[in-house]
Amino acid sequence: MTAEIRNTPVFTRRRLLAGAGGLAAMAGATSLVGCSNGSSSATDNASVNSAVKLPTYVPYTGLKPDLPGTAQGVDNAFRNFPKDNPQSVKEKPGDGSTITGMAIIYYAVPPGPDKNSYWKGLNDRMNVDLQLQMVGNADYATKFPTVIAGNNLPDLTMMQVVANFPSLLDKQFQPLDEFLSGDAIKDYPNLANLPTASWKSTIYNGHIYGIPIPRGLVGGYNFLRADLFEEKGLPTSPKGYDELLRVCKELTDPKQRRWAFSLNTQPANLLAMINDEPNGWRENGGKLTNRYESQEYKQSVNDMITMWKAGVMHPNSFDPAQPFKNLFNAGTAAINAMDGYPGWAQYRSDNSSNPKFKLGLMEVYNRDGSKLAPWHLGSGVFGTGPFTAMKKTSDKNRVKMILRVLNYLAAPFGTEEYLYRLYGAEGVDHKTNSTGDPVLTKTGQANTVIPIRYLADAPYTLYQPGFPKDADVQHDYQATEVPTGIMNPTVGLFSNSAATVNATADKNFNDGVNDIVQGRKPFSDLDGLISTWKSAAGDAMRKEYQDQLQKNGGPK
Amino acid sequence: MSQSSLTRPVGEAVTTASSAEAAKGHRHGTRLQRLSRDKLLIGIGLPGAIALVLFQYVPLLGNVIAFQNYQPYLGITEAPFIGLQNFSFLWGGNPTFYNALLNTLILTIIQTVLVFPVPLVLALLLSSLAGERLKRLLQSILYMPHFLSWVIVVALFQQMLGNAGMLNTFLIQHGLPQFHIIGVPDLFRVLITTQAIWKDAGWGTIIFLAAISQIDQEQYEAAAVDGANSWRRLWHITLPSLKGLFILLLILRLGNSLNVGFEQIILQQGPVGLQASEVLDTWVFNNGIIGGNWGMAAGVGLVKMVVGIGLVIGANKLAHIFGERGVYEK
Repeated sequence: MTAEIRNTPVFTRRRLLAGAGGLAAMAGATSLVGCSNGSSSATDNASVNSAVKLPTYVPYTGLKPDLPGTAQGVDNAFRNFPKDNPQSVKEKPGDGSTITGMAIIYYAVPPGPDKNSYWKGLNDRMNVDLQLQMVGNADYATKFPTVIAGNNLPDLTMMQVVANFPSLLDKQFQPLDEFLSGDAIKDYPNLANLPTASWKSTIYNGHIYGIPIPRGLVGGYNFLRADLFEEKGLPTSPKGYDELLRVCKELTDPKQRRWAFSLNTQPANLLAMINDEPNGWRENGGKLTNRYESQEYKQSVNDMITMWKAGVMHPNSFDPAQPFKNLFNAGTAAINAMDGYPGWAQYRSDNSSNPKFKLGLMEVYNRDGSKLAPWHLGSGVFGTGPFTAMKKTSDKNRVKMILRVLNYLAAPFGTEEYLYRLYGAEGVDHKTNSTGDPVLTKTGQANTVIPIRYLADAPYTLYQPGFPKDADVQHDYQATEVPTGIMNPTVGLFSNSAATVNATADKNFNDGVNDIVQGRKPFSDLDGLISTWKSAAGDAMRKEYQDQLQKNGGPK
Repeated sequence: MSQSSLTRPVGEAVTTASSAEAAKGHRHGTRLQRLSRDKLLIGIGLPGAIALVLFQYVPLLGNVIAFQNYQPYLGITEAPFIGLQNFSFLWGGNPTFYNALLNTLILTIIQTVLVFPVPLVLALLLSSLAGERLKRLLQSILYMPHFLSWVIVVALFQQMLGNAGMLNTFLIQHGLPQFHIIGVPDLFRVLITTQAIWKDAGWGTIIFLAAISQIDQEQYEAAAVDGANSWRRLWHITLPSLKGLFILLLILRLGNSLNVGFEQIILQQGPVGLQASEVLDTWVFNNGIIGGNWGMAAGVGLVKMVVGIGLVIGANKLAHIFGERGVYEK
């Protein structure tokens, strides 16, 4: 259920379900896909990993964004698509050979290169024969271990952090530091444009193992139906818990089939910020405290009980299969808190034929409403597949050639390569409208979704074709919230317990909490749940993370 | 299970053991002669036999991972052997496992006692209908839900009876008290049993209807002449004729009895919670597959298989004691 964060600014209804993605990494609900650095493995420890020289960051300067991003992590924003599209890669990167790859796809599988002019064109431009295994999003977690077990790895694989990940990388994947570390990356300027923070998730065993798929640090947005708020004259950014509860109650009207929230994780994620819970973990003098063990979490569970009793959550809120995006579009739910932020473009397009629909964003205030609450930042990489790794090979020239191809695919927003990668050929895959924005044609919608964006991608850029003001709204929101943000201190660290036993322990814990919130079990059961979780996974995770933090001298 | 039984005469036991016995008496000539005589039959049977070995027996060898600390990237050959460690759930005092086992057994009993006979009853009701056209129509309607996937069935129930479904929305809009059925742990067993009956009972009637149609009509006529009413005819003719088939199906069902419906349950697990809904299959998923603990997942599968075989053999023995043929003979 990790947020599917994508770069295509144009969406169709057909893509809705496919791109459903999910809530933005559940505000650190120990979906700690964070990685790199240190673990149980003998070769993967903090001292070797901190010795790795990260690639030098050389930001792209060829195009000036209308609203520039910040070093803190606010994304660049463009109101319109740039009219000049400079080339960022001068020569064809490939050598005519075949490159195989495997990545996730959220759409209907597009036609192959023989019947897909876009794909064929891309191959010509890169001078490679790109062959892809496109794996549906529901199947990736099962397909990935199968492909590894089958010992038939493609050249490029979108990675998932699994059990004993460092030793898997060591056995089957190619270390890339020789080609990417420090100034070496300057041979691949579009890869050098990827934010430094995103590279941290690629480091294991003292090596750089791949190309990160970068995402903005904001992680999620609190989407809301501004039209429903306006109808009742309610503030879109309630100041404090009491006002939030009042607003939620006023929004809710079961007779009209309307509730404030459609999933239990939505108010839970809001409350995590309102009550100042740790973002996953809190670090204090080398000691880690998990969100679940904090006093603030207990407060949130208490508040959740109140909210459930107040009836502001949809009756099926505890069903993880709840179609929350549809319910938001239908106005059945008014707030869609901490959903993956590229959802903005999706909601715009889903509701293009609904003139009433008005999209808004909720800022989060602390419990007493005196100031903004600390925002829970994301990990800075695509949660489902944080990086792309390369199959082991002794042929250095081939490694360089594949890196050049990835460099091509990572071309920044607005460049000639980016325009082709996302929108294909003009007149075939897209048309340019009166404001100069590219709009995908039917052909383009089907053909351009080949999942190359999960093999390499440009840094995320805010841009909504046909809605120039959206760039300002989103940029303002990020500029307000991101500076208050706190990071999860374990992002960039690897814990084998987190990759194995925690999935079950976390599920059992949350199942128990759901029982408490729904009044099936007394609040006093919470302590028992916490200690069960701690002995099943939590304490082991803490130790694994703390060991690495100590050796690193603090969070990376 | 029922489909495979359809191809053979109703109630008749067909097994390799018995056909081997039968074949013994007809052995003539050398092996080569017999081979050349039967080459057509062997040729017809060979592809099926190969498929059976390749896709049923060879994969069984994969069960070896139940005794390994299996990691997909190491493969079966390199994964280290850890003995019976993966089976520690059996004696390790894991409360979630015991909870799943208990729920499974309760559901097994419910499904065997309540769900399993429903198709028989339905078939008897259908066969007692006079109008041939009405019978056909009803049959078709009853079969239909079988072809819906569980996702659809669960969604249908959700939309109709769910807390935000048609029924409750109607009740809210008319100021009436709501009727909570879905998402209530205490009603979960009732709910999934109802769904199972709704979906598959109609389909299960096919084989019984076929068997009923095989019963010699003259027996009924003779009984009627002797003054037996319809109830007595049912008791003395129909049910005894179906006994063999019923026992056969029951034994086969017992082999699967620990599978109480993975898809159906996992789809509805969120709202009711694990305490009420966790069964062995979902426990394997939640504890084995999700955490990448493939060895343990295979271990549970093996235990279930052993229990299933035990139940089939035991039930078959029992059938023999009562003078029935069972699934196979001694």
